[in-house]
Amino acid sequence: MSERAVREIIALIASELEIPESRLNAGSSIDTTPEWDSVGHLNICLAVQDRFGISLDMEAISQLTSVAALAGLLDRT
Amino acid sequence: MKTLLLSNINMQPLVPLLKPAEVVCGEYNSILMDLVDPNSAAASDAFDRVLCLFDTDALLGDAVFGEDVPDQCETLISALERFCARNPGKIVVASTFCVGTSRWLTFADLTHPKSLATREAALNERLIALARKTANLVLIDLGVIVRRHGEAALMSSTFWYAGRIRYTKQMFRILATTVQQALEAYANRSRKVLVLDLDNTLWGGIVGELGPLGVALSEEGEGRCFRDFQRALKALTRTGVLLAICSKNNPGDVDEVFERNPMMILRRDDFASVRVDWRPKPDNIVDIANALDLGLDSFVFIDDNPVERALVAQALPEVSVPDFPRRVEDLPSWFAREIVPRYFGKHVISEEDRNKTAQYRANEVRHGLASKLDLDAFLAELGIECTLHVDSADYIPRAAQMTQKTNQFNLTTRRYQIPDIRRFVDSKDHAVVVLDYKDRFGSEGAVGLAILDLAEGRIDTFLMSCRVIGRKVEDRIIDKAIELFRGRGLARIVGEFIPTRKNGLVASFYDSHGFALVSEFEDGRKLYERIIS
Repeated sequence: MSERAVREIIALIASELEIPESRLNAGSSIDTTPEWDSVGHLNICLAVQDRFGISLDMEAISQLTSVAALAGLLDRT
Repeated sequence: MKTLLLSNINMQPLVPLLKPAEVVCGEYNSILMDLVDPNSAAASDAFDRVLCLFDTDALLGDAVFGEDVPDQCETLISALERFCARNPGKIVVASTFCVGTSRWLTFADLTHPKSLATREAALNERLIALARKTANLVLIDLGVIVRRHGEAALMSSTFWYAGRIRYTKQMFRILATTVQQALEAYANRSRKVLVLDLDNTLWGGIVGELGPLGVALSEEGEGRCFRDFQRALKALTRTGVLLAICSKNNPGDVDEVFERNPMMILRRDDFASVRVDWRPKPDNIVDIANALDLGLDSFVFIDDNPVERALVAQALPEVSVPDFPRRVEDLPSWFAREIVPRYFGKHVISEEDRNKTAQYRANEVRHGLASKLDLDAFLAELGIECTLHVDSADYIPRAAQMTQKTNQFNLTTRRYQIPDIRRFVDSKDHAVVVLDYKDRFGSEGAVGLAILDLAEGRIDTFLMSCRVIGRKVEDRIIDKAIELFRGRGLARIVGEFIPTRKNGLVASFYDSHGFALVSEFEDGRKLYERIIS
């Protein structure tokens, strides 16, 4: 995954969860970030769809639960 | 001001979008309990606004036809009615019922007496009747939003099944904006005056060049865009919004459009105030505000020209100055969809609203110049760059065109053809000076022209396109002319003003540019002289 994608994803997650970007890094995930709960996760996925014009399916929503996974998705699209 | 958001589905993504309003999501699917229970959060003093967004599909449950519908929808309306009555100090915003098209069965639904469509209409009829008699209930029409933007863009099956979120981010944004606009309208915070430019705003083209019947205003193509825009403006006056004109034009030209152009939808008496002259627009808008006795913060200004918009936005920050659509065909829908909801939302329309223009026209009085705005500072910020071309063959066609088309800022109105201009360019005794204009908003191209008779020391032609009038670039051409005359060793030069029906703007141009009047003829022609040695 590219550094640019990681940066963009971290900015998006921080904005959706309303936490400082410094709380997140390339290794962050739903398990390491208390604010990243199931509601927060849906907000992140809605924002990813909206911002990057990607259509996510249910399967993707259940798997894209880390910065690495989301950044990887950005790199592939 | 704190808002409680109630819904029978997951509306949590809407909360951050409603900022700066402080919004708390009620418990999931607690909408009915919150409305009915006198000890609920909604009824508590903690909230002065309650936002009820029903998801009709979820409420309808397994219903296929209207007769199978559970009582929930009817119960909700009754609960809403009682809640509003019990809490007159709270503002309640509720959405209308809107059934998703994925529930539709077949063609028979159109005629079936108990179809869900029929049911939806009946529910909304009851809800609307309730809103009509309930002062603290504000309705949001979900059906209009869905028709405007399309279900495919607004609804998401993925997020619905993944987490009871019906909408896409786009829909949440639209909902947030709509709620805010509805509350602004409810609080009567809408703008009161719409100030309009004329050329390329109310009609296509420039009336000073095309004449009162030549401007684009018709039932076809481009002309129809402007005519439909005028229709929308006329409708707006019926809601109590005042229209005003602020245009740089000869008043006589504009009068003629109103009097003679049969395609004008708007009449002169549709405008509460009219300012047609060559003064800076911020001065005129201040004038209109004083004349109508309304604050500038209730003003919106629409002009196709980005420089005029920037000038007004900078000089009068209280005035709202929206961008103008790039395509003329978007003008009517841009106005209806963006401008009206954003600035002119109304909760109710009264009888007085219909007659407001007449009332204000009667009050209007002419005021003197209310304030001198700092035009020079603004012009400095425009970053104007002028390039002067002397006897350049590249500009011959444009120079000829300018002599043909320019009426207003034109001292002698001599019309030349391309061969005439070519002769001047080739002649040692003449100079053709063309001014190229650009600023930080872009290039206007060649907009100024002087034709000099170097042998006689006479300015034969001097004109500027009305697009740049008022930006003081004409001085640059005069400076260049003087430099060229001096180069020929001339000590005095002659300027000439020939009056026409259209060039009143420059009648005293030479008087204010260091020239002295030498003679005035019976036909109004004036000769001026300036010493340059």
